[in-house]
Amino acid sequence: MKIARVEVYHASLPYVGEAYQLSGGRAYRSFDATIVRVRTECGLEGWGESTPFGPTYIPAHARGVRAGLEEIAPAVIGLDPRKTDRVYDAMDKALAGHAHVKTPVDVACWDVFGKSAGMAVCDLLGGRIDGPVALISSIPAADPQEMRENVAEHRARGFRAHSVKIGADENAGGPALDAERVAASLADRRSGEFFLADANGGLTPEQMLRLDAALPRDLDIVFEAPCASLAETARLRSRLRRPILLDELAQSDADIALIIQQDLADGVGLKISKQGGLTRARAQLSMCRAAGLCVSVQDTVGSDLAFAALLHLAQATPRAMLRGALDPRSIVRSPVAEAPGARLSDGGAVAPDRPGLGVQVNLTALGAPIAAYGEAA
Amino acid sequence: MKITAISYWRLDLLLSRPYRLSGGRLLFERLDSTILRLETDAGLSGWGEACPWGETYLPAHGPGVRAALQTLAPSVLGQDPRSPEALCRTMDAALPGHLYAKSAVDVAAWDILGQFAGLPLWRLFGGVSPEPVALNSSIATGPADEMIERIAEARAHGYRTHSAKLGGADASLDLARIEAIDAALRPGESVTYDVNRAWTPATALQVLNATASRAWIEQPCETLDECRQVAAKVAQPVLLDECLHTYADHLAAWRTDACLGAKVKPNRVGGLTKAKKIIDFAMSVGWRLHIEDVGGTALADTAAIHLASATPEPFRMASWLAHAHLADDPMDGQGARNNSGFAAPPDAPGLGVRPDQARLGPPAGEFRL
Repeated sequence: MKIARVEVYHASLPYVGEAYQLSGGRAYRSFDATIVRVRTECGLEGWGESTPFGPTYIPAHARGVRAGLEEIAPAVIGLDPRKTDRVYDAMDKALAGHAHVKTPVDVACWDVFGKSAGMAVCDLLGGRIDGPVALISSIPAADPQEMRENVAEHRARGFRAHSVKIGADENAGGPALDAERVAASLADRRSGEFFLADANGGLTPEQMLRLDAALPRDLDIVFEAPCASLAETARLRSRLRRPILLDELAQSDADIALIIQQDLADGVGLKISKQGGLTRARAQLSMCRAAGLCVSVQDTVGSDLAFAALLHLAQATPRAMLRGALDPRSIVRSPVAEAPGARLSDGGAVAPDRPGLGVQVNLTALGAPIAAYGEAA
Repeated sequence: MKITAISYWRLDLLLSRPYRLSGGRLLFERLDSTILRLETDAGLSGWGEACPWGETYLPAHGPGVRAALQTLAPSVLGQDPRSPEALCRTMDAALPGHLYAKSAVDVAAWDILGQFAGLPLWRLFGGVSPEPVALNSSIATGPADEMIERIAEARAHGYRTHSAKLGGADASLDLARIEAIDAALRPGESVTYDVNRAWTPATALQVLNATASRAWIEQPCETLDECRQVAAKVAQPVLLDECLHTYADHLAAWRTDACLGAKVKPNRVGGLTKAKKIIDFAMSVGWRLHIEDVGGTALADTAAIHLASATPEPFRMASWLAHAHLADDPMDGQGARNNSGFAAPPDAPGLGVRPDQARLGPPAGEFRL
């Protein structure tokens, strides 16, 4: 089986609300998606997506995805998409780094692999573990009462885990405001719910220590991405009792190894496009499992296509180490793809039980490709 | 003063001969460079260049430079280029990372600042005269006798310092290269053995502990931590390059005793502003430095040579000129050039290199206020 053609599509995914706020004054109204279609000589095709969370969440931006695909797409033409590590080797030989560029090609190859084997991707990733995957909501930083209501609204929709965004600078209210946000978000907590307080790297160790001191000692919460650098995280770690989960600082296999070696965190936020696709995310998941770290399986943001990829990985992840999967549909609404069966119900979602990712892509909504590599269509 | 326009051109730079790195894993035949011009409302314009060395030497590539410039352009327009540090902060807020694209904007801003002040960059960086910088050759990987021949060619061009590339799959061949090249050097010459990340720590120890050579060993392994392991167990001084990007990376390298020196390249670290801070730190902890760029024409090289020239001698080792590897000279003889094994920065205000716009043709991208 050989890859004959790679097509690149572009879509704009609108935020479900007014604007999504992150720490440091960052705000987004829509997200620029790049969707890749890998077509084989025998007619099977697979799909993958890379939608950075704006250009300022991590060093990744939508134009960079498409620029990088100019290097990578030609390099995979003629390869067998089922040999996912070999496809990855070819991508690494075409372009160093740039995980978010390699993601959509890698995911599309897993989609083809599943379709050719007649197996869902979660089964290729080790096997479906039955039962729903608990979904984690994304609660933007806002006034504490608004955040409490937002958590309640997501709870009513079936979310059992919540990622509450913090990171108020001193002018806005500093650690005291963040403490109020956390307290409000957890005020109506139900048994079995899991909470992350996510600063997206926007706070210093000093601010984190003040926030930690302002929270009740027995409050059950995990701090996510407190500081911008590993060095600051290490300084904080030596003085913080509460668990830390790292996200933006955990991108490559080497990052995970370093985090484990230096005991910088108790968990890792895996985002399929940040890690570089399912091939990389699965390898890093194994490292986390070996080291006793928990994981949250997410992506930056995306359509149902991105959701399906992360959901398949989550479906194959031992639940004891899994701290929710992100449902990007709580952030954007888009008609470009649909994952039938991946509905939020009974506390979670279930990965589609069809070959490959199990996603239907809406070709009409996507329009014509903006770039194509390999054989003419 | 405001930046009123950003224009960039793509330059396809053919190498005069194909070049292999990292034990031959990586082959380079042409470079995809981006030349950038900033225009202002004061009639001054500045130039910069971002030329990654291929797509696999570092996580950087030509199309990625231009994509990043498109994303950065709205935040750069309207800024005052005479404050390059503030401009760097503005760019970092608009798009994290992508240091390999930001460097072109930063160099162009310094060019404008220098012209405005009537001073060449070497003086703004603390130099007292346009001191010539010793140059080092770049000797691609190959059989030892071929490498020695290339060193002889470089010697004929005035080079006294050589950067010999190692990192083959067979460690015994690398050991043989070290012994042969050390023996072939003339009095007054020196060499750095640049492995470009090809060895595992075990291989590095086997090779380096088997030789009496005390030459600098550059970037023996992939990661900072692996290099640290090696540095702790060998007698040779270790120099780091590819694994150092941010200021924090250099701090981490120092804190963990991973190296005694570094290559500081504007395109790798994000421009002259960031490079200067790293150089100041490096001097304060007694490191030795090669200050040069990743690739490009004499435009990119000249920016680096201004910085190198202004760096005091005990801390400064030789600099490599990328443009010496090109088949053509788009900068028509301007800028810092090899003069008997040394290159001096120009004395004109600013960068001192102004590309011929007629020769560049229409820009590939343009953004205006």
